[in-house]
Amino acid sequence: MTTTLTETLVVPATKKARRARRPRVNLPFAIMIVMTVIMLFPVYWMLLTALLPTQAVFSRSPSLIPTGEMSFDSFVGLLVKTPIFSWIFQSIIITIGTSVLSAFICLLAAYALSRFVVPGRKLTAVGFLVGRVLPGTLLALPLFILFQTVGLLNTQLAVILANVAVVTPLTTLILKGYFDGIPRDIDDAAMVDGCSRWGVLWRMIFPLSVPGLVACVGLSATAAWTDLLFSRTLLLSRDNWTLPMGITSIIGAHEVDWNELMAAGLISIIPMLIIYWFLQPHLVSGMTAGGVKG
Amino acid sequence: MSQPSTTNREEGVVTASPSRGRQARRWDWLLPVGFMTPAVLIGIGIVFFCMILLIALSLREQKLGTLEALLNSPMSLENYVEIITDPATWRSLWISVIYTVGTTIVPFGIGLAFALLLNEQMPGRRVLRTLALVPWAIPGVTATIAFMWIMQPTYGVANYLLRVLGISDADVDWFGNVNTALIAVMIPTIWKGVPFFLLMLLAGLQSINGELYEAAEVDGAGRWAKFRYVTIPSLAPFIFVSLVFGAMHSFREFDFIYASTGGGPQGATETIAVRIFNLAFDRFDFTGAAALGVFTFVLVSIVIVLLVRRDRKGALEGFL
Repeated sequence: MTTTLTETLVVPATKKARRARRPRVNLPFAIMIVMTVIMLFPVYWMLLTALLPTQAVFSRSPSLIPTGEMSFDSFVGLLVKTPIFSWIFQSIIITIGTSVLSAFICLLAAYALSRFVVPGRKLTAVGFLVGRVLPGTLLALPLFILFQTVGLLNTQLAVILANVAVVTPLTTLILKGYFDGIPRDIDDAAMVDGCSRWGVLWRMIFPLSVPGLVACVGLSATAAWTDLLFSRTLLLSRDNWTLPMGITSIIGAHEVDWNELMAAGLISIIPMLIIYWFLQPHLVSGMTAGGVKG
Repeated sequence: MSQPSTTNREEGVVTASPSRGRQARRWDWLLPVGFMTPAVLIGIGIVFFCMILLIALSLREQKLGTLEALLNSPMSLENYVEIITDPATWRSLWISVIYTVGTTIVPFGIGLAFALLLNEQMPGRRVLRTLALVPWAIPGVTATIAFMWIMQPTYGVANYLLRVLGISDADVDWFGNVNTALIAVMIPTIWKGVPFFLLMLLAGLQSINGELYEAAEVDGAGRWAKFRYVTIPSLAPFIFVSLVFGAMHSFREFDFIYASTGGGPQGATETIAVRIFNLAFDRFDFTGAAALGVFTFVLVSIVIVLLVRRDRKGALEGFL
């Protein structure tokens, strides 16, 4: 494919010889396979540990390929010993709350940013960058005091608001990039026909921007589902613990039951795979939202 | 997406009414303001309020209490004096720098290798791309426990491989040893960071105009020359932006470290982000944590301003 013209003209013999020596070995493909296997090893190992019986797991010479029988005992043990359903339930409430609220807010804001002149673009850019780089732990302390003062501490709403505050600038900018790609003629045509701005947004832009919204919902759901910091600081009672909090508490336990821990880890991945499935086509456009000017 | 269906909907739903149109125009200025309000309130308002509160707290003498009690406590600069004279602050800053640089450069290199490979023709490219992105979908805490198990001293597969390969017979306690803990917490962070760089750089590679390569070939460029003089310059804005965003993400990272070591052993993994948390919620020194927070905020702002100044081509802004 990429052999140069000169090469073909000048040295056809060597090229033919080379091709004969290694018939159709796609080197990038081979390297790619090896690298992908290494990348996926931790997930594979987690799965294997959760499914193998305890004596096989606690072995000084673990076999990398499963030989013995497998069971779901570790999942059963997890159910018996920990309130895993409560953790999952709490995580689901916070995830749904965050994604719905954040989607609504960023839909409105992104439309305004895309269709009206909003001054201070450079300033917004700097503000956004500073906001993105500030450690979340920096926000956790004032948020703790704020929610304590207004009596929202130890409620799911507090965690939802904290997550939305962190994720909304990002989703707004992604969706704005998406709206910018929708021609303004559509707005104008609808408004000439007597549609209100709200009607334009709801009837025209919203149906067209579903893929962009999916990306935003995916990103905010991801942030909420994986959040450890805000649920650690804002939810005090054990009953309100989310899944990441629960998993962290298992590590903190005196004797770690590794197969049960890995089972909990696998459970935490499942919703992410569903989100990932929907989000995957939008990941690139999401991350490169707005495109490069340079 | 599909133009025809939109126009159909338009005709079907919208009914013209002149009086409504006029009314809408009169209140038009309210609309962007109204649309922006929730986002400004929650996205900027909360963060802004938090920063003000942080500054207000950092100037108080009392260490812990309710908001009222803290704000009634006498003013003092003592927290800042403590923060700046405490060697642990500077050590944390240094750990943050090592952690940030390591967890940016290494996944960048791996991500670049993946992106270059995936940019080639190969069977099952879509499937391989999806598989390579899997770490992105693993929650930080989950990635941490997976690596804690792999690097577990007695039964961990990492130490097992070291034994089998004859490199080391010791049961290295990766997360518990002062000398290895920082490297240990960096590994899951690196692993999870690869997909981000992979995606950014692959998007960059695919945006390169194929004609550039053809032109280079006509000029007799080999593989390396094409990489050096076409790929790298075309990729430069993507490299810059992905490194900046990646580093920002690493700097604020909390989950990996808190879930595994909590900043220990003996503060060996206590980055600034973790130190602020530990000061506030472990040692209950609220105002001291606030002072360290403000100090960090100032440092970060300086770095950001310098970066945006340097970014003359507007690559960062283009992504915003």
